[in-house]
Amino acid sequence: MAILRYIIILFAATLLTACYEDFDPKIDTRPVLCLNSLIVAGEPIEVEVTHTWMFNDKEAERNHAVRDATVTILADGKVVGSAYRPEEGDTITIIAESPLYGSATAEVIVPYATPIGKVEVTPVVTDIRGGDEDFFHYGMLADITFNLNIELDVNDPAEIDNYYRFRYSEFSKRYDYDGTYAGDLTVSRPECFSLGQFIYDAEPIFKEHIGVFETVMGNDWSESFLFFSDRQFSGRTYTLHLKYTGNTFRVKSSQYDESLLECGLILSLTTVSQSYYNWAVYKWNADDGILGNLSDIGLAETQWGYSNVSTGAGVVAAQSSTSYPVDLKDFLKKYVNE
Amino acid sequence: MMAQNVTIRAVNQPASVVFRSIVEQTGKNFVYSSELLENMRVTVNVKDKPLKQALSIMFRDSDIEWKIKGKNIILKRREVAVNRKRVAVASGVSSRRPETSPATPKMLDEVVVVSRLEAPEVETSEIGAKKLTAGEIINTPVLFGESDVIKALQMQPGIAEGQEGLAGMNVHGGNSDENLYLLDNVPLYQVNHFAGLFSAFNPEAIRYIDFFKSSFPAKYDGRLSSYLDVRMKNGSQEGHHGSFRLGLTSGAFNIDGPIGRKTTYSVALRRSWFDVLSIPLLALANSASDDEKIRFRYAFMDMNAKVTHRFSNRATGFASVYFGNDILKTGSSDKHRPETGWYSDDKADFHWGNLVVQAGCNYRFNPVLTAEFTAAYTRYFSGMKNNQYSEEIMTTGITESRSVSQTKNNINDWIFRGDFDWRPDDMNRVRFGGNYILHSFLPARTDRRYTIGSTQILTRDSTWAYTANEANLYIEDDLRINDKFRMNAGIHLSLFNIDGKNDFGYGPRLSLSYRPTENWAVKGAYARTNQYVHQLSQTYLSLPSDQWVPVTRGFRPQNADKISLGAYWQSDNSMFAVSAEGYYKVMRHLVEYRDEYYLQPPTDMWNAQLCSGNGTAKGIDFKVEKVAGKLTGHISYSLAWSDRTFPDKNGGRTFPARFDNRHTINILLNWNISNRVSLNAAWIGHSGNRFTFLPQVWSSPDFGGIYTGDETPLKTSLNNYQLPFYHRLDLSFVVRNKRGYWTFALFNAYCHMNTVAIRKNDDSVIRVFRKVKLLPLIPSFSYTWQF
Repeated sequence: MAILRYIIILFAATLLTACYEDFDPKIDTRPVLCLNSLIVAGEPIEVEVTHTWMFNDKEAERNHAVRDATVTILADGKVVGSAYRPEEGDTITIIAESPLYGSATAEVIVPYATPIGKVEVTPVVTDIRGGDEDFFHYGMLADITFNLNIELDVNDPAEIDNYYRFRYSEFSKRYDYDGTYAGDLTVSRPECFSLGQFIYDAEPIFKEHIGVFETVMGNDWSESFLFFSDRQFSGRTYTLHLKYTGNTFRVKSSQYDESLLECGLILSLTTVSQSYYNWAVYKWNADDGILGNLSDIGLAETQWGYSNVSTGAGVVAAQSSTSYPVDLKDFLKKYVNE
Repeated sequence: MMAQNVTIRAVNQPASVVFRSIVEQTGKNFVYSSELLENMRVTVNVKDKPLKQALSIMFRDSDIEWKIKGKNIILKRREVAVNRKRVAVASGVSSRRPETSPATPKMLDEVVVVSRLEAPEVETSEIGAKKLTAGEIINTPVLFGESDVIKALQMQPGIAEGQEGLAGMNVHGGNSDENLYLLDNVPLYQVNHFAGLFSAFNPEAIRYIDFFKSSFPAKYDGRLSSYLDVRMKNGSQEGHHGSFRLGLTSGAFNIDGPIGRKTTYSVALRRSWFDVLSIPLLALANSASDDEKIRFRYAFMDMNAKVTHRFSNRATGFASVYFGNDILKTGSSDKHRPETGWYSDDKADFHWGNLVVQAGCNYRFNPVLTAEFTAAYTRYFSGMKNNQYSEEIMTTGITESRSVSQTKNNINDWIFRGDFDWRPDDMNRVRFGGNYILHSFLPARTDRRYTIGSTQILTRDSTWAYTANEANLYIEDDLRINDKFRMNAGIHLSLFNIDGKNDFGYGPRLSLSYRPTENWAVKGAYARTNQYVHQLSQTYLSLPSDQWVPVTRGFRPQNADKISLGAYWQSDNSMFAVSAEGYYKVMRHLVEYRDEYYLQPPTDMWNAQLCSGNGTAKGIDFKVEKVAGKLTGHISYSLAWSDRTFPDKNGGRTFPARFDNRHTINILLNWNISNRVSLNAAWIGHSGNRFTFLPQVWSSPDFGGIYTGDETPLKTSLNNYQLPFYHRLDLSFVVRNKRGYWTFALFNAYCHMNTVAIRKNDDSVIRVFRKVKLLPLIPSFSYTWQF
């Protein structure tokens, strides 16, 4: 809930109304180079080189690529070519020069992936339905609703500031609606497993970037922000509490095949560079935080975009990931009608 | 000098009420013993008659004789003689002393001065001091017709109002938290209602205010830029009087009078009507919505109460309470619970305010030494609570989830102080004293509790609590060296103990005045001030999220050195006054949020988001004032510069302060058209506020996920753009009748909506910069019933 809008109602009622007047500020500005890049260990480096533009310049908005720039990439201070693949711990420096827009530099260290420690998965069945035959006369193998409580240990390396991003995805055997598998096996839906709701509030560290003001004003609902830092557990193990409710496993099939049960989650722990983390926090503040709303109407300080590029434009970030598969096969086996 | 004419129509009115009317019409002061007019009422009906004739009519049936001496009207009982050396002027109101006969000495208990103005500026050694009476505050037209101390002061040169329409105060290039607001000597932390639209001081409860912005008496310390000492009204000994005011946004009631022969009381209440007005609007909105029910309620109130008791001719005791509180309740809920699906109910409660309880006594040890002893408790509090409840309703059951977040920010101060006033001879007036304050700071305590089904997670993000001890000592001597030279020299010493560290501050004060002729004076002053607490505010509004925090480890106390020079002239008949005051101020260890402070999560120490830096301010204030007659007011012009330099802001480069208004012109006129009708006009114009304008953008990185796409504003220098020139005219008409008076007000009378910000607008067809303009013409009216 964005309580802000009610406050704005209050102000609107009191201050009556705001009005707007279009104008051209007529100020001299000089466009500068902008560098954007996400460097991933083991993958080739791509750099997007553009230039800044006046917000009201419609032409520049459509076309702001810089094609005459020379881009030089250094790894640990040495120039590298296109065949170079960055490794964890490498310090990458990107230098771009353009005759028209000048030069820009950014540096980032490819972070070491942080190993995922112990993972404890506790599924709790909340509903099981019977095996009636449906219209297609497929036997109901399973219709299970369950919650998943997962505790995942992040073993934070000492003596270094780490920033993380947690991600998850589901996997399941996929079938065609009318297709067959393993001979005459026919199933009723393409994916048997469907992940329910991720309970964002269950893990407080995902909200460490949210201040009191935003929380109370109801601006903490953006549940896609899964970045966090090790500020509160530097050099120690932190256990992420992950809770998924209303997950379902439903499959109707004329016959049982154990491969139907191959489903679960992929949990990813990505160690991101500080620049990536800062960018994410900035975006949250600008798009979801209340200060972004208030600065729009002159009631809070204007916020510029976070950048780690020398020109103040662009973000050069790096990341390394580890992942952990959560296999639900053994759990589901107990509830499936064979 | 021409005889002054007055128009008075009073039938059995309290004498003090009639005096005020004369003061307003003539600019003269009444000086008399407080016992002289006990319960006295007068009847007089003159229209445009000489003042002397009016006074003769007023006192013809009494044993009171009057004498006009300069700008004072001195009253005394015919048989009473007064010794010049034994006059005690109560309550710090200075005036010329009454002429006396050399007969047998007899000391007055208390001298009451009914005056429109403080002593003329040519007579004192002070620079940048201002005394405002409740009448002058009420006669300054403001938004919604809500008379306001701070908005009245905003008309004085050298004071920037800050954000439009709000009761902000940025004095001589300082920040808004560098002003010390005192209510009868006790500091208030929360001085605003309704995000700053109204100040916390109810004008009905005010006797007068003392305001200092350049040369500071040694008594005051703790803030860098200004001191506003608000004095609450004492109850009248002449009977029970009061008023009831009903305005568009609030109502107020006040009453005062005697309790027996030695005790008086004064009570003033004020409450807003917003919640009453919003009920039908919300009901309409909610009835039009099938899905959602909106909650909204806002109200503020304040209450002042004071009891004064005279124990003897030497001792007077007093006790007072101030309580101000704002509440805001918002939220929404689904109107119906579906058979399956989601149901939600969200509530947010905010409350903030200040409580002051104090008791004390004034004691006269001997004819030349008086003292005031005070014990006080002040509590600033703010709290915010958000309660989000939701149900996921399924055929198999309901899963409930609840998220409760709350935060508190408190300051509790226990204050013990003694202030002495010693007049060893005609040349010296020595003030000295000290105080001890036990502070208890709770900058933030935040709890978040989540309940999902049977799972409950409780986190306490942050709890920082500090106890601090503060001790202050001061002494100053106001020395009249001769008829031409006057000097005020003093020092304020302070000790602030917190978090295992001791900060010692010294604040020397010196002001000199040279008066070559009766009409002229030139002055110079130097003052150092220290500040141990500061306010953190993420917005330009006054909100409960603002935190008052002490100077803890890693930060040094703020201090400022200020040099002021002034030249003053007043006309022979005291009708006109002209002044020019220049200043140069250096501010050190200022505390502000660092650039991109939001990158430091709030779970870090709260001061990790802060940085320390310096500032300078300089300027000159000109003022031409007409202080008496039917038409009074002033025109002022200020030329000012103010900048800041912080290593962790703006790349370490110096940048202009947000309210670095180079040119400011204020015009305030009060015209008593007749005995019944008066017109007040206030025009304010100043260079636009500074604004961090980000005209360029760059292409946001595409890192996948939701934090991608669109464009991002390019960093520029802080406060790099000056908004257009700001100007506004406010008018108010006061029409009196037998029972009271109507006030009709027009805020922004010619409806010039001023630019407060610039935003970018992209509606996919055109991309333009837009000026955001607020506050059109706003009419208002109120009626005040007096009894």
